[in-house]
Amino acid sequence: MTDTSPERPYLSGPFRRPTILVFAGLLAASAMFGGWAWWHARQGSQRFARALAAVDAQRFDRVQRELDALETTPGYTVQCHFLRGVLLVQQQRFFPALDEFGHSVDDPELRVRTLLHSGEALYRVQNFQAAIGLLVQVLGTEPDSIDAHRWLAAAYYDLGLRDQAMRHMVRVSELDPSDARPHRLMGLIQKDFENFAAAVRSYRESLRRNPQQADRETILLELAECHVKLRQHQDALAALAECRPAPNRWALEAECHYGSSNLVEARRRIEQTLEAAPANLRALLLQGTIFLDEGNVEAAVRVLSQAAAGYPKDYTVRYKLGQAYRRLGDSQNADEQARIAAEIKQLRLQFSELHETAAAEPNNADVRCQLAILAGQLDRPDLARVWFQAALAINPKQEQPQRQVSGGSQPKTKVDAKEEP
Amino acid sequence: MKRPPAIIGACLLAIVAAIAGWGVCIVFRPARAPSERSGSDDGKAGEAGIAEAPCPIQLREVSDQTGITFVHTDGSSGRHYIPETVTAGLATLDFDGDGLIDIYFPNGAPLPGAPAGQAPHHALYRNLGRWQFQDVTELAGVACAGYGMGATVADYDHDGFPDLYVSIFGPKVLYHNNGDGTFSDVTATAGVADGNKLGAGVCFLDIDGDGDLDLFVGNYVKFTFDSHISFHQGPYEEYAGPKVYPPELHALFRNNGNGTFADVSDVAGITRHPGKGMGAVCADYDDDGDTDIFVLNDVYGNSCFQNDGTGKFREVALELGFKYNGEGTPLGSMGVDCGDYDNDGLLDFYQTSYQTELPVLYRNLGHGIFEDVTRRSNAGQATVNNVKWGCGFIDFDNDGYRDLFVAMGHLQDLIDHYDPTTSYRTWNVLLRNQGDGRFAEVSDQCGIRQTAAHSARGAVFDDLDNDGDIDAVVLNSRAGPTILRNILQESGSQNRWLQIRLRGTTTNRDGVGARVWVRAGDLTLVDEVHAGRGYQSHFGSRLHFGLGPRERVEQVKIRWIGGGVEVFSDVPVDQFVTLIEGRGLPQAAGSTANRSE
Repeated sequence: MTDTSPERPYLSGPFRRPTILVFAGLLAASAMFGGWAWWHARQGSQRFARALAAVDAQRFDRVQRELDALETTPGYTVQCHFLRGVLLVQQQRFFPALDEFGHSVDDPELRVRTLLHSGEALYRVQNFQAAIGLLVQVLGTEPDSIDAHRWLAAAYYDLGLRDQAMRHMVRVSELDPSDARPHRLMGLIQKDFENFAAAVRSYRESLRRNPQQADRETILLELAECHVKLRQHQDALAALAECRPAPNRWALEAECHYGSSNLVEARRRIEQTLEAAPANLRALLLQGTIFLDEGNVEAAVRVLSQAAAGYPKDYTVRYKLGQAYRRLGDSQNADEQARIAAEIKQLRLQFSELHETAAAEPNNADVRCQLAILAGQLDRPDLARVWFQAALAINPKQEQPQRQVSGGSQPKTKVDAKEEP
Repeated sequence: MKRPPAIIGACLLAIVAAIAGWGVCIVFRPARAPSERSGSDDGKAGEAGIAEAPCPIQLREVSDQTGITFVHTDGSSGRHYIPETVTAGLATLDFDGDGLIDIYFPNGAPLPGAPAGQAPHHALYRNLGRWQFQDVTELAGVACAGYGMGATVADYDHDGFPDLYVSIFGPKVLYHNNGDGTFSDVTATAGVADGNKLGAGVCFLDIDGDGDLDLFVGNYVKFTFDSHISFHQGPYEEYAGPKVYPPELHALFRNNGNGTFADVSDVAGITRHPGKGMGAVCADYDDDGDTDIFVLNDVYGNSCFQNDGTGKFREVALELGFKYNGEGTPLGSMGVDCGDYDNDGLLDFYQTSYQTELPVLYRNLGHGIFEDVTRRSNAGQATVNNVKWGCGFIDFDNDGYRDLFVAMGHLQDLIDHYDPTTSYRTWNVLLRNQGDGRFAEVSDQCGIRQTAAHSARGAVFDDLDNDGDIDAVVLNSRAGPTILRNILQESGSQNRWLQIRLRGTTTNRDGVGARVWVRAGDLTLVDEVHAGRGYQSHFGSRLHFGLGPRERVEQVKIRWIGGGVEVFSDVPVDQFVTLIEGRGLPQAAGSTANRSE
C-alpha cells in the first residue's frame, strides 16, 4: 500500500536542506558561545573594576568577594595576584604581599597601582628607601597621586628628612583639601623644630578641615602650647577652653595666666593641676618659678628638686634649680645642677646637630644610630626606638639597632606612633 | 493724602546715607597699632601697664629739620649675606670739644653682587646747635670705606680729645682725634685692626687700672663669602641665622701708653670663650672697683668676663644668671645696656632679643647674681613680636627713674610676605619706669608711634640741644636715621637734672669706668661712664641724672678706675658740670657701696 497523502515538507523555504540546517545550528551555537564568552569576559572586567573601586574605598570585604569570583575567571591571574597583594597588606602580611605584587608589577594596566601598594608594604616593613624608590616612580606617571605623596611624606619623615616630608605633605594638602591629617603632622614637625607660628597655622588649618577629628583634643593642646611659646596667651586660653578639664590643660592655663601677670589665677590652676597630677612637670616648674619671683627660694628649691627627681633629664628644671641654689648661697649644689644642665644642653645640641646631619645624609645609618643613643641618654626611649628603626631601614645589618629594636614587640614607625598617614 | 514717592525717596536717601556713613567709617577708621596687628597679647599685656595720665615723656621727630642727609646702606644685592642683617650701631661724641654732642654714623659698603654706584661712606655730623648738623666727614677724615658695624669713643691717649674706634666687617679702624677737627687713621701703628673678622660691639675700658684705656673688641661669627648660606621660606630667600656659622674669637688689646696696643686676648682669658658677639658693655657689676666685660652672643649664650682687677678675666655668665634668660634659654641676643633701674645702688642690665623672645631685664641682686625680672616688671611684653636691637636705660622725664627705649625692626627683609605677626619696618618702643619696679609702655602717648616706621638697629641717647633732657638718634637699616627731640623742658617740666662730665687726671681722661653716686635729698642715683654700649654703639659719655623735684644735690661721689674715691659737695642742679679728678674731697676707699649709706 502506498502512502498517497501529500508530502508534508519538514521545513520550508531556505531551511529546506539539511546542510543548511547544520550550518544554522553551528552558527547559533557559536553565537551563543560567543555571547556567553563575551558576557563572561565582561563580567570579569566588571568584577575587577568593582574590586579596584573597593580597594580605593578601603572596602576590603568587597575586594575579597570580587577576588573570590575572579579566581575562577580565566584570564585574570595577574589581577588576582594584585588583589591578593592588596588584601595581604591589609592583613599586615607585608612580605607575602610583596610576592604577590611581584606578579602584577609588569602588567601595564596595573603597574602604577602595584608600585603604590608595594611602596606602602615596604614602608610598613620599614624599608623606607625602597619604598621611596617605588613611590617616586608612581609620581613619574601620576604626579598628583595623593597616596604616593602621603606615603612618601611618611617615609621621608621616618628617615629624619623633614624638608622632603613637608614638601609631600603640603602637596597632599593641596590635592585633597578635605584631608585634615597632613596639617596636623606638619604642625607637629613645625612645633618640634620650634617654628611655632607656622605650627599654629598648620594646627588651625587641620582643625578647620575636620573640626571633629579623633585627635582634636591633642591638637588643641599642642596648638595652645605653641601659642604659649609665642606669648599669645589669650589665644592659648581660647584653644584650651575647648579641651576637656584635665591636668595638662590646667597647667597650660596656669602658664597663660602667669604670662598675663594674673598670678592669682595662675596659682589656682597650678594647685588644681598638682592635686590631680602631683608630678606634672609644667606645673612644678611654674610653681618653682613663682616661688623664685617671690623670693621664696627655699620653697623654690623644694619644688624644683621634686621636679628634678621626676624628670632628671629636663634642662629647664636643672637650670632653674641651679639658679635657686645659687640664690640660697649653696654654691656646691648650684654648681652641680649647672653641670647637669650643661650636660643636658650639650646632649641636646649634639642631637640637634646630628639631626641636621641626618637630614643632609639620607643614607647615613650611623648618624641615625647615634641619634637613637642620644635620645636614650635624654630619657626619650620612644624617640630612640624610632631612630634605631630608621638606622635599620638603611642598614639592616647594624647590630645595635637590631638588638634594640628586636627587644620590642610590634614594629612602629613615627607615623604609626601618631596616626596613619 | 498719599505721597508714596516721597516716602520711598526718603527711605532710599536714608539707606544711601547709611551706606555712605558706613563707607566713611571703613575708610577713615584709625589704623591699628602694630601690637594689635600682631594678634599677640602685646596690647593686652601693655594695657595693664599703660599710663592713664598724659605721658610726661614727649619725643618729637626732627629728622628732616636737622640737615642730616645720611642714608644707611647694607650693601645688599639680594644674595642675603649675614653681615647685612647686623649693620650697624652708631656713636655720639663731642669730637671738637664745643660742648655740643655730634653724631657718627657707620655705614655699610657694597657686598659682592651689589650694583655699582657711588660708594657709600660713614658720616660724621657736627652739631651746630639749634638742631642743625653739618656733614664734616670729609673734612674730619673719617669717611672709612669699610663695612661698618658699630663704634665706640674715648680719649685713649689722654690728649683731651675723644678718639673713635670703628668696628668693621674686615680690619677695624682706630681714628685718632687730632684736636683740630680732623682725625688720623692710626690703626696700623696702634695694632688694633683685629684681623679680617666680622666685627660687633666694641668698648674702651681700663682693664688693669693703670690709667690707660684698653680696648675690647667683640666679633660676630666666622663668615666669608665662600661660607655664605641662605635659606628659603617658600619662594622667598631668607638670611641665615648665626647658628649656621662657627663662633668667632673676641679680642682684648692692652694700651701700652705710647700709642700702641698689645693683643692680650690669650693671657687675659678672652680667647677661651669664643662667641657670636653683638652688643657689648663694660661695667663693674660686682662693685669691686674694676671693670668687667659683658658681651651678648647671638643664640650662643652671653658672656660675662669678670675682672680680677689685674686685667685677667674669668667667664662667669652662667653662675651670674646672665648667660641665658630665666628659663635657661640662649636668646637671639642683640643690644645691651646697664643702669640702676630700681635705684637700689646696683647696676642692672637689659638685653634685647629676637622675634617672639622677651628681652631680658636682669636685676642685680647684689651678691654676684642676676634675676630675670622681665615679666614681673613688664619690661618687654610690648616688644615680643619684633626683633629688638638698640636699647638704653634713659631717664627721659628727669623723674629720677630710668626708662627703657627699645629700637626694633626685623632683619628678614621679606618677612612681611610670609609672617603676618611681625614686620620688617616697625616702630620703636618706649617703656616708662613707674618707680615701683614696673614699666608701662608709653609708645603711643610719647610720640614715637607718630614717626615713620623703619627697621631700626643702633640707638644712642644724649642731650643734643643741651636743654637738660635726653634726645635719641636711631640708625635705621637701608634708610635715614630717626632723630627724636625730647621736648620735656619745652613742655614746662619742673623736674631737675644734672649732667656730669668726668675729667681724669691720673686715671683715664674721660673717666671711663668711674662710678658716680649722686645724692639729692631722699634720692641716691648711681651710674658709670661707659665707652661702648647698646647695640654696637656708643653714647652717654656725659652722665645724666634726673632728679625729680629735688633742687639740690648734696653730694656727688666718684670712684675713679685705678684711682681713689672723692666727694664733691653741693653741686648745683640743672647744670652741666665737669668734675676733675683730684679737685674733690678724698674719701677712704671701700666706703663706696651706696646701699650702706
